Amino acid sequence: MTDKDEQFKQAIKQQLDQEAGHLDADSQRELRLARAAALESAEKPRRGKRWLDVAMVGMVGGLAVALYLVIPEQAQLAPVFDDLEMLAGAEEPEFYQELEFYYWLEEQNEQG
Amino acid sequence: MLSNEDKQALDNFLAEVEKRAYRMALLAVADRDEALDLVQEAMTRLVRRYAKRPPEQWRPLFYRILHNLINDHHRRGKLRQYVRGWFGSEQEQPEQVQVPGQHHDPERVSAENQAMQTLGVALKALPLRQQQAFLLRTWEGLGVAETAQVMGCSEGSVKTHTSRAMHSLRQVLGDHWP
Repeated sequence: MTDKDEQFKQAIKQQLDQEAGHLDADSQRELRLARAAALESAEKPRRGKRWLDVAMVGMVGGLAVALYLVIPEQAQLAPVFDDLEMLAGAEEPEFYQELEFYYWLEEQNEQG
Repeated sequence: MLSNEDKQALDNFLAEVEKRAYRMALLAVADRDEALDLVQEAMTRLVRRYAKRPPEQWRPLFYRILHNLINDHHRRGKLRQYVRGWFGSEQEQPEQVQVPGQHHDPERVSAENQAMQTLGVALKALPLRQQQAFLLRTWEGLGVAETAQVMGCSEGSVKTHTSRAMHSLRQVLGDHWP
């Protein structure tokens, strides 16, 4: 990267910082409220989680029985049951999508 | 349950990133209320799911969440457009980006505000991936590897997106901007 590129980037950064510093009062207030609400949410139990877990387990159980009855014996069931295990798990599906990212974070943490 | 120190640390972190996060979301979704909702949702998810993680992980986690929310927003928008197109209803009009801090009295628009406005328009015109890579690298100061993890792409892609964004911005803003 050339000095010119660096200067250009610095000018943009400076401009964006200035702009963020001059954010209108309404937006600033709403961001403060959003932050307070987010912090407060840590204290609240997750609503609906319990019935969701029960429904999920019921659905997965039903699906497992249906698959057992429908899928021919020679079909490979292991991958299907791996997915069912994930669905029935306490972790949210997003957790599994983000696994690679978590590994990377842990690696960074261990490195320093 | 979070301790008071944890809460204070999270509050400080969120206060530090909230304005930049809001501006990034606003550039990406071009709707003030939607941008505020996305930032609040990202804050809430960070607090609920990752408050106990080491504080040095909060920044990439927060931007990863925000990045995913922005992408979901765009996917929903595309689906809405598709459904509208299917049923033959009117096309959604593109929304205008509001430049924060800018008020609508033309006489009060200073050179500084004009520079901000020009930059806002130029950034908004970038493809979403270029815009995100450029802002995360240049403004938020994330490294190439961190940005790649936040965006869920390779480090090479981050470099390409950032470089293309720089090139486009130079073309629009000129060498001597602002």
